[in-house]
Amino acid sequence: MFFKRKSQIIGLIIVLLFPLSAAALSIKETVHPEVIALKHHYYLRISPDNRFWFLYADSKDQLWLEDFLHKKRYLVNESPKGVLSSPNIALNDKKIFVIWREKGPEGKILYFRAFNFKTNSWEAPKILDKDSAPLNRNAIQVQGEKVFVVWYGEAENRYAIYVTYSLNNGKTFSPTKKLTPDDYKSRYFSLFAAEGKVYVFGEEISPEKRQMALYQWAAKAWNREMVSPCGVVVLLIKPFLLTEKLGVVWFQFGQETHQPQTVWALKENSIWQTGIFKELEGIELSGLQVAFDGERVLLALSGLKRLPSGEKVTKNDLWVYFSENGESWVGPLRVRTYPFKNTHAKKPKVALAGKKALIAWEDYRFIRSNICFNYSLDAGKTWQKEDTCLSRPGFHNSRVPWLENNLFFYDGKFYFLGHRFESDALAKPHLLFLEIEL
Amino acid sequence: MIKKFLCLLFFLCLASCAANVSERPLALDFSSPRKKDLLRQRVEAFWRYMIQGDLERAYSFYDPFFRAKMDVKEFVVKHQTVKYKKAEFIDAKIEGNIAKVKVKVTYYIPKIKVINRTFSVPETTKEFEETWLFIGDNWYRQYIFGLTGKGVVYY
Repeated sequence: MFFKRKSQIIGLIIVLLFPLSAAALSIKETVHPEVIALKHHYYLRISPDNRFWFLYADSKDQLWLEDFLHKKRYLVNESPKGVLSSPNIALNDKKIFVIWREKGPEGKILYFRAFNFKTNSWEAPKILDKDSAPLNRNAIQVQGEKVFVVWYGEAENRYAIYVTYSLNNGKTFSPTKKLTPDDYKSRYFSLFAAEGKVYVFGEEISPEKRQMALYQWAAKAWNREMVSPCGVVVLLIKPFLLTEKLGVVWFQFGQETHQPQTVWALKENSIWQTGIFKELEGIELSGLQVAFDGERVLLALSGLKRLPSGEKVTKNDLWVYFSENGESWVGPLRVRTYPFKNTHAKKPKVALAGKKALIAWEDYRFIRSNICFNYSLDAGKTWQKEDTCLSRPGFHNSRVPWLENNLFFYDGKFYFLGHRFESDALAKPHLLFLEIEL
Repeated sequence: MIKKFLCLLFFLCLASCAANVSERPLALDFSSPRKKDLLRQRVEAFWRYMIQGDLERAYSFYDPFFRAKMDVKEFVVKHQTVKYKKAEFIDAKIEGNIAKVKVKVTYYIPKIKVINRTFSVPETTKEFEETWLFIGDNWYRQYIFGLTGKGVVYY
């Protein structure tokens, strides 16, 4: 007799099928033909009519908005009056909004342009600001027909955060407002819009103190409140929202210790609580992203240790934290399963969709950079025992953008936009579009 | 019928597993003797070319990031001074796609004139460690610039 019982047969089928089903992550790679200018950020956005939009600058600094699947692209900066920098993008259910800065004979100018994707037509570009001497860091967010733009400028040689907004889908904008109080200066900020509310977190520096401040937009006015004293903040500020609770995570060098620290702050019942991630003390962050869905927040970080001389002591490594209340954090969780610490892993991107969570990062275990992934099926509490990298490991130089998340869940799949170099000269990057199915 | 189906499934799975094992790229393999053997062959071949003075062939063993920065002609011109007589592979420690290889090398510098002064180094034997990187489908020697002590490749 071959098999006596049904359970034996079913058991054998499961055992036999297991090796076939082990690779549960399927990834489709598409390399875009255009050589892009990596000095500018590039973006992926998905419009509600199932179109995938890329914003990128080519090697001639022409800024393109591209409808990727339909292979149509639209020039954003048709008649530039200066050198392009810091493009950014946001969209709602009718329009795509692009901002960028130009520096030329007329000074530093921040531009805005709206693209109607129902009619595939541009509106005329608008000058948002030139009086604040806008610098090359900005943000744009949309809530319904309200469009908010934040940047930092250096008018009168004093760094400050500026903001303007439109209440009519980008047709007209409010006068520019300086958010940073006159007796402070600011360099780093984060614009965050959710559930009809708009927030800007920004550092404030005076000769006496440094603090993290929150500016909240309500009834056409900005209310300012102090979150917490802080150290020397460096670039990475990431807000998150849990039910009724606003939170933020940032990277700083401690005020007294000058040691690298990652700090969280959470507002509950009008009171801000703060804490430091103990395991990350001494780690200089190279990447920080958050994903949240109201009930939980996932934090993905990368960083390394340095000597005071600046010499690197460790390679960049990765960590993930998980929280359901924003104050008690589970972690650091290991998502990179490469057993050695002799290569960099950095710039993690993270997305959360129901119980599915995906993390993508730039990994150097194959010496030529690759993009590797791990996923969770319980919203980030536990991760797969083996991570997955792009095919033909060691044959391509594939990378992820530094600051932009570019990882989205849409209609049952994850989508990611990174870049890949033509050769080991690392001179000609192309966009790399990934379609990822768990 | 069921018996036939299960037999077929069994052999299909065996074939699939065998295919997976044989096709597993060496870059994903962190500990196989095959990878270590290949390393030894590459190290020995590299030093054989250095001893023969075949710098063009030796150049092809350097990491591709370095070769993207310096072409073979420049490499040959810059590496003609030191002559190698003997080289011996001592040991290698492999972690993932990075190998620290101990070699014992005998070299000398024949008399050369540098700004009106004659300079030479007598036959000298030294044991040192070099880094080899498994990139794509083979091992490559990491190029280190003498002045900075740093290479081109970032990993």
